[in-house]
Amino acid sequence: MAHRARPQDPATDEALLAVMGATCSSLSPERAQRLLAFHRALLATGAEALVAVDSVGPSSALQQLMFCSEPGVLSAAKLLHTFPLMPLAEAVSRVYPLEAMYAVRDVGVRAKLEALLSGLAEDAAAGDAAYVVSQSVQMDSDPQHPSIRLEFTPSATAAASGGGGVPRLPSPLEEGSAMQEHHMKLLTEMLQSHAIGIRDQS
Amino acid sequence: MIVRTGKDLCLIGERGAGKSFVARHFARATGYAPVETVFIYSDMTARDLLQRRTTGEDKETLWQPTPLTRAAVSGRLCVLDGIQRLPTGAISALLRLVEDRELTLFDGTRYVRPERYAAMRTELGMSEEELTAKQIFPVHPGFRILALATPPTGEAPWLTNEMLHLFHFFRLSIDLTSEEGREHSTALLQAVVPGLPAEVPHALATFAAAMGNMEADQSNTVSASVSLRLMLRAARRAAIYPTDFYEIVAAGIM
Repeated sequence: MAHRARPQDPATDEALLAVMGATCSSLSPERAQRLLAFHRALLATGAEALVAVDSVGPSSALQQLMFCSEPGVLSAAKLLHTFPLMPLAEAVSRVYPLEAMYAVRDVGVRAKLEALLSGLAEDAAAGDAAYVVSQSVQMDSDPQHPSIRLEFTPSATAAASGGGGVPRLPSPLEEGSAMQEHHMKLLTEMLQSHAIGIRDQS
Repeated sequence: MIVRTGKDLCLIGERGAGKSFVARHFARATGYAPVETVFIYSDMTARDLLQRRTTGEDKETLWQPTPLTRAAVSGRLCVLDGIQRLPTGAISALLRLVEDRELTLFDGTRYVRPERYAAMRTELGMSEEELTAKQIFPVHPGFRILALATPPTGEAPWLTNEMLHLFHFFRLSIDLTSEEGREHSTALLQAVVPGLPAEVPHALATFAAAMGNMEADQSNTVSASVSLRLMLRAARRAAIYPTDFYEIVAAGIM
């Protein structure tokens, strides 16, 4: 029997919301909806670009338009669940790094994407905390699968995989240390993403 | 249902901006140090990435695990340094490991994600010995990847849709040509290199900024960027052999 190609539609909002409900219980429905709205708007922009290619001719810049995939949306949702004060735009920037994308040097593409991302802006009260990692502690756990506890300020704690060595956070204030404030901010962001793990049971 | 909500990490920054430095601190902060490191090159194949073929003393074929495979099996952090250079063929080999945590090696060994390995034991009733006899092993649940890359360019637009959904992305952006960048590099050199003559950090930072501006000039065909790494090298030499600035630059950078 010959293999056949079949179209695969994107997951419905209901399906994605159900997964978010199971894995990201502390994410508010309003923030979940806004994440999904961004995802849908990006897909619609891509679909418009394809129509434009068919009718007017190829637009290489828009062909390079990149998408925030469904796992990407779920991953941003998991970040917001673990770090409830994280701004929506910051969570999205981890999975959709606009500033690093070469295609956005095209002025038209950039304008479209910035307009979509501006929809993620929210009241300061909803999420404006700059988390800082405060502690990394080895946990008593299965020696075959070592884990650590990461603590952040303002209050957020997460258990994460560790390598088995004694975790040690750098101090930007140590004499002779090359670790500066912006390095510490970056390290905090990386540890936040590490803290959400890789897989969840829904 | 298992949902992949988390991702491995990718740190993007210009050459010499301090990516390896941040990666080292990430490994220490999570207890993953020492890490397995793979330096990616442009004609790297899936074999180079996963399992290398060698010949034994009796001319027999031997398969050797690479640092990436060793990390996947032993639950370590693997740093993929220069992922922007990874060719398309090797990306497809990496995709399955990053997305599904599964791997089929050239000697027939299969590594499956831990949940699937557990399901094979419970649902299929296979013992560990039976799975081992079939060369099926679990990928270690603690295995993580940290990729390092330079920003995508027109010549190397590596950040494609395919790569976009593999990682969480972080940007280390220091513009050494800006006032803030000069202050940053001056402060860093002063903090890291003890015994450095007082005028050297600022002079080096200004020199690096001037060279950066020269490189930004499209009409200039000479690649002239001076990275933080080169500045540190020059500063360390200047601390040991204090001499005039021309000599510091000529010996430490050029």
